[in-house]
Amino acid sequence: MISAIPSRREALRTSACGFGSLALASLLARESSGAAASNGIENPLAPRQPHFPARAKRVIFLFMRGGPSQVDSFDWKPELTKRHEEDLGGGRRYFQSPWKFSRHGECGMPISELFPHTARHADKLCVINSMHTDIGNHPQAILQMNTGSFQFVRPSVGSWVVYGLGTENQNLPGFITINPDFSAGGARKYGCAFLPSATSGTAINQWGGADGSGPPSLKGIRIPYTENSTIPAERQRKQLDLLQALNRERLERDRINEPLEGIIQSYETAFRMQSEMPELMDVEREPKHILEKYGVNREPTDNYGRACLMARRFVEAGVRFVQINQGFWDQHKDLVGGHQKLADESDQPVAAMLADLEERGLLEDTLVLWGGEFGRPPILNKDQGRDHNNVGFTMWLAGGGVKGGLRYGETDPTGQTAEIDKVHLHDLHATLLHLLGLDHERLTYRYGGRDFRLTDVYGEVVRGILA
Amino acid sequence: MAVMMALAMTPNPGSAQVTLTKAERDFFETKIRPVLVEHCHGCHAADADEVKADFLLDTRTGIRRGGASGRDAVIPGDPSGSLLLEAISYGNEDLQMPPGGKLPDAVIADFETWIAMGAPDPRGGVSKLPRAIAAEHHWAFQPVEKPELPELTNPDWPRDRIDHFILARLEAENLEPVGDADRRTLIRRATLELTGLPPTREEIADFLADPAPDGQAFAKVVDRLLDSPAFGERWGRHWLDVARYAESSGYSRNMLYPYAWRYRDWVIQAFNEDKPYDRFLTEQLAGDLLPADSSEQRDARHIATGFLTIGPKTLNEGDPLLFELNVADDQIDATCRAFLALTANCARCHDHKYDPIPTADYYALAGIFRSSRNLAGTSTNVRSEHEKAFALGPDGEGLLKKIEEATAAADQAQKTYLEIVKERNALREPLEKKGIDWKKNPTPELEAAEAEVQRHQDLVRSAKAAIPEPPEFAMAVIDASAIPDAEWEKVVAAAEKDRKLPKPQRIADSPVFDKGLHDQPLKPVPRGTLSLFDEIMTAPAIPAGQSGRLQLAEWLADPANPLTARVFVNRVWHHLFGTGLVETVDNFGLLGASPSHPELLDDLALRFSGDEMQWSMKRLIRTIMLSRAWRLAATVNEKNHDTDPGNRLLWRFAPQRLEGEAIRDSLLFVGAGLDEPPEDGSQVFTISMKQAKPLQREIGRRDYYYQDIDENVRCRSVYLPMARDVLFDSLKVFDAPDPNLVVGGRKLTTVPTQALFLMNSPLVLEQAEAMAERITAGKPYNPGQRAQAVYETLLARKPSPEETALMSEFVLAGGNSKQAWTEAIQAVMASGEFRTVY
Repeated sequence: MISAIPSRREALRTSACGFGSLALASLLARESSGAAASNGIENPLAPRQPHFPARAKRVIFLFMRGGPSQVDSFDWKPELTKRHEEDLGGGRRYFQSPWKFSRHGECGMPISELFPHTARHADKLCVINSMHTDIGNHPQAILQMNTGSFQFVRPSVGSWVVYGLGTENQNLPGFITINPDFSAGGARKYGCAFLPSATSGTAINQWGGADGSGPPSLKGIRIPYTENSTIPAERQRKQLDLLQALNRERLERDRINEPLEGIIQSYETAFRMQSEMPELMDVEREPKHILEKYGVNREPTDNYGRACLMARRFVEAGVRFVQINQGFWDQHKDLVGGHQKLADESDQPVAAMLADLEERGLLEDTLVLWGGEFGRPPILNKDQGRDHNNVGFTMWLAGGGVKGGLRYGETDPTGQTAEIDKVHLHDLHATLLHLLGLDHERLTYRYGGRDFRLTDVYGEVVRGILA
Repeated sequence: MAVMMALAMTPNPGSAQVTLTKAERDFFETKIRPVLVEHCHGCHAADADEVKADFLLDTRTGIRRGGASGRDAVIPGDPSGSLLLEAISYGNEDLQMPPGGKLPDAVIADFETWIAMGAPDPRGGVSKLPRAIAAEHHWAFQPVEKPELPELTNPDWPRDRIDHFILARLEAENLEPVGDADRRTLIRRATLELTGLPPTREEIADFLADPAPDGQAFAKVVDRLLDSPAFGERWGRHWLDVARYAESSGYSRNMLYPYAWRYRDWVIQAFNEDKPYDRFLTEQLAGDLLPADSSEQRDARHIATGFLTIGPKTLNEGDPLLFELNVADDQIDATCRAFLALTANCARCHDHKYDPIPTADYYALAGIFRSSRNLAGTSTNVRSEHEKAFALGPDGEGLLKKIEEATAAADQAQKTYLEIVKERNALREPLEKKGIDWKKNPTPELEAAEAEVQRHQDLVRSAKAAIPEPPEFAMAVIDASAIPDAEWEKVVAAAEKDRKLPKPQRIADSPVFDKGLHDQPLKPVPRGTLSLFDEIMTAPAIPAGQSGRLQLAEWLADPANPLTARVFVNRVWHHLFGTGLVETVDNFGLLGASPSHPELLDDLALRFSGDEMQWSMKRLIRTIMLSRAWRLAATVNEKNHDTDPGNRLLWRFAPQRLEGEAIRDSLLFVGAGLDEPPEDGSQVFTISMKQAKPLQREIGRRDYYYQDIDENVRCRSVYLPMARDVLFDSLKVFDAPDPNLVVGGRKLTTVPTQALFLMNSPLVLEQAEAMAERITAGKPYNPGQRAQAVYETLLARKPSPEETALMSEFVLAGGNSKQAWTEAIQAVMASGEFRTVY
């Protein structure tokens, strides 16, 4: 330990930009000792090895808040057509999908005309028709989807993933969530609970939950504290040099001070992050044909297109977990108008992102996950809408480690209740971690005298969907 | 003295001798015992490699009591009710024993016969689970004993008993403590630790100039700081971490708690007035049950019980019983973690896996809390049980009644008035029909009626004026027996109407709920405290008409309780040294860490709860700060660092990272200055009161709260709005704890977002500019002298020649201007040293 001191001091003096090598030395030292800094201050974002070889390195979660209807999208139910208009009392009746289904891809997957662009990627999709979750209320179900628990305070899925794997690019947050809304648990949806705070999601474009409206535009959006209102960039670099020189003076005086080394390193990273993040978020740097594919600068796809393009740019740059939130798919009234509007906003961008990821060779180790906190029944209510359904719904996955062109599990013939190869939300979480090389039973965190995990005491990996 | 385990429900039941007839004995020895030994002991005896399902059937007591399921395995005389028979009969798909294959029918018949004949069993004793044996020897469950002061090679070093224990460990390891910290380091360290703010240049100068010996001069500084109101603002915040203090319910529907801030202020005041810790504890758990000398005292003691009801609540829970149990669970968790550093809520579903806390104990506590009522002042359309808040003032509750009555009277007056108007109009009508101008030519009847209208108008006005101003409110908990009868009848009536509501019981024992499932009630257990110290101290008797909170508080505050003083002393140590003597400050159970200096912990705990300090929190803090160990320099000694890099033996003062609150407050303090706390107590209160309906106080819904909150406030951080999941960035980036959880020790990180915040946030820029304004306002002009002022203000020291040179060069490149100094000052504010206590 002591012998390292002169060389470190030497490094400080001799290196032109001392902190770089110092940071490296400090990183190496930490890696070789394999332990956290002696005073317990550590970098929770440092990359870590998974439990076993991973099929996916990163995740894009397209969270369709409110609960899209499965029988109108990815769960084709011919039987429902036969029972169309069958009266169930109280103004409720079975109702076939107003959208026509047709078969797509080599696999011949039935997908409704609600998602014509996504349908072109049918052979990539791994559709789980047999999802179910515990509660049919938005607030609870949304929390369970995002944290595994509606009853207790638990870290979000993204936080668990970052806790498990760290992140690949230290200049960027490990977990980014785009367009999260304030309600239904608010920041809890991407919070870290007892995990280190750096594992919590960085929110881009938080928005209010007023029904009917969507999130504000993503054009020119910045994350907080990445720009300085009064000091020009060039001048700020000089200021940072002064700051780092002062830090190094102190370090030299202290001789051993790992936390201070960490701080010195954090400023370099921050400075790079500050220049890298706005560039990454500025999707208009992309070529025109890409922008067109994603539907950027055109309605109704501009917002979601920007989000998807940003997500692609983020994962490409090494962000571990990106979540895009869209809503509200909660059509208790006017199913046709509401679902069509949301699908029109997101379908083309999602399809463009899948194609783009594939072209760049990213799709094979990026897991894309699409779905809501629950689904909707095959029943139309008196307001021409569909209500909530947590006993059966559909999500799809694509990319890293899942079988494409697969419909997994089944609901009953009407599309109401998951019956065959049922997949509980906990199973989905277990599978997601598995694809990332993490054993959901081993990814634990000790808090208050007990080990916690994303899946609590539940969850089984859905082997049938693994490629 | 070993601690008797709580796993046996009755004290040592196995010791009683039983007399069996020869036939009974023979039956057991020939038909039963051999089967048990051959087929069951492998997993269900004390010598098993791994005891399954906590079921030990190698004694009479054990085989009757059963295991983790909570059901009696053998009920003498009742074969069909005995779980053991159910298991060996393979009738229950989930419980088939032995697992390898069903026993012969004849053997099963023997067991049935044996149970039917009263399960005669000669086997005495109580066998214990391996974890029970471990718990018996667990250090934290032993009584606190006064240790001997250890012998020292260097007896001149210590200044306090504390130092004896520390030096003894160092000497044993052949280590020497580093030298004492200098006065500048010491005053900065003490001021930051006690107030969360840096010392002023005047305070530094005074201390440096004090001719008194170091020890005396420093004692004066410590006393001054302990007397400063800023002390409570910092140390109160430490406790608020433990108390999971927040101003909203969290969970899926995050409802505001408009009155939570009163509890916050109570905590701050408790620290400032040095409320003895036993009182501090008792008032938080049972302040409502303590006699009060004045209405102010009565109010304060009710506010203290806010501790119990500021926790997270599942206000969207559709099942009222589950909601009630969840609230009790939070209260059990907060109480046991905060005061005992035990995770008692693990025992909600099963006996605690490691600590001697059986499920029965958990529900004994649940009975106490379920016999209390939460006055939280918040509700949703789903759950409104906590909607009422506690009315403050000499006649709070009476005032509410008066308002109700006066409002009813005013309504009545209004009604009468409208009738009178009607009558008057009826008199006008015929005149109008006749075309008579009743204004000019009123009939005598109409004149009289007009006068009557006028009179009633006045009556209405005075009736409305007679409605008293509403009282102020607080969050509190009261015993269910304190609810007025009339109100209680309403609760009962509501429950009778809604079949889903649990049958309301004012003061009642809680059943155990099988596996924690709220629809699986088992037998009620008497309200009571944890049983793990029953051998050490007397468990309190809880009178029939009381919840038992007061008795629970007294049991906790009893100096004989082995955990209470140890846990608090350790919390204080943790804050002052950065690490507790026990590192796991919130867990003293079997999975917690062992103390680095067990004798020191005990010695300090006894001094704290005994005559020397009499539970005085300030005296405890003062004693530790005046020890030599606390006044050591932060310098590194190579040999020591090699042997003990983590400084567990306290050979130096290890530098500590300041918390977000202290960083933000220090910045404001040296910059534009700190403002007073919000006049209304909290922004959360102000925002809530803007809303007409309490149901709309949900954070997030339609941007509510987000659009109202003002982040640009300059009060101390402890007074910032603390809604769950909506913390201010300035705190969040510096590892503010999640207020949904009891957090005695924050997890500190170093991440780039902190750097970004210090580089770019308007808050920091504004403070740097404000300070630059002062520094550059006049003399001195010399950059070196200005640098010295900056360093003294921000870091309480003089800059080194190198630092002076770096600063000077930087500001001279910017013309020694205010802007150049703003940037330079911001660099020092952003430096690692500014956020570190050395």
